[in-house]
Amino acid sequence: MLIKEFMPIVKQFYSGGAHCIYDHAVSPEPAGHAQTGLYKVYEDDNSPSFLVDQSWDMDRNNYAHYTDHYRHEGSTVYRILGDSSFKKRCSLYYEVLYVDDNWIHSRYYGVIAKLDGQWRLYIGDSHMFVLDNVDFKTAEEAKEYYDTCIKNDPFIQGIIEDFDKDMK
Amino acid sequence: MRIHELMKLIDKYYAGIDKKLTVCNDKPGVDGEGRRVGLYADNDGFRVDEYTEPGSSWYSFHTCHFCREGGAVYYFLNRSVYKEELHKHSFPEYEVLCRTNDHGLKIPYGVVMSLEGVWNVYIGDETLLYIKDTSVKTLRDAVDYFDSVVDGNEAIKLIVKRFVRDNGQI
Repeated sequence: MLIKEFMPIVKQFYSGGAHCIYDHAVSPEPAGHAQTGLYKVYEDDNSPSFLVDQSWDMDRNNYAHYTDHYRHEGSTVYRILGDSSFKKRCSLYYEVLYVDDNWIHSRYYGVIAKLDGQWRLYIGDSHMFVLDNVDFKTAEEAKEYYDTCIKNDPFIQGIIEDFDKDMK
Repeated sequence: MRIHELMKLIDKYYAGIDKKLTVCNDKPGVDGEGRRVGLYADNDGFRVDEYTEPGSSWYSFHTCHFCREGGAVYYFLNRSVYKEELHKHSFPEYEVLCRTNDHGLKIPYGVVMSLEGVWNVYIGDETLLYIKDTSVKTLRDAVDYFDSVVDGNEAIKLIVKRFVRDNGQI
């Protein structure tokens, strides 16, 4: 999923709370949220590098600011979607897809969600699929379907492999 | 290669009665038979949209974004289902050229094909080169020949380098 596709989701489904999420390319500086944690996502001028910046209240933690660098735009989006504090405040039901390497962290590469009445699968930076002839009550069910019926499709595997090898 | 250049080739060479693919320079229509693919400019880039017949797969719609026009064209040409279908009809044999970018990703940046008996090499968005060396007979020869040229020619190298950098998303 690209940042431009992610921002409308933030606008529609995210209730804010602890974080103000904005697209750096659209509004370089957030107004009036200096005391709250915030993310910004943007493409670095020395592309291809994509960043997620997070700032916190000065006294709240032992750090005030940190940045995650990614080689893929999709990674920045999945990084935020995969954050439990984002998920808690988001009224959209979704499941983030990841490669689990049994190491320190899982590597996110996609998301499955119901948007505009369709179950959609986003993987990598730019691929979006509409799932056909299926409906699910929950995002967990959708993920189960993904795991059993979609994940091993060679076309899908190719996209995941290309995307994931950059994150190792 | 530009999208309109691809369209001309499709119109001219992709012939036969049992065609399963419809290609257009716009959003493909929702109704229709077989696979329908549209390559078109988006508000800030280019897209390749694909509709499949319901029931033929687990998805009916798939879309992809590209920041360069050539990226959309080479993605289309490089996708194996399309390649197979084009070759079944009278589309000329071709090979998509790929470069590995700084992150180890294979980025398509051009295509080699024989048109009217001349080896054409399209690279980036708008550059077209002809191979004049008559010792180049097969598609494999043409690709090898071009690979050796790229490595030795600064201007071509730069076109490829910039294109691969810009289109590094896929």
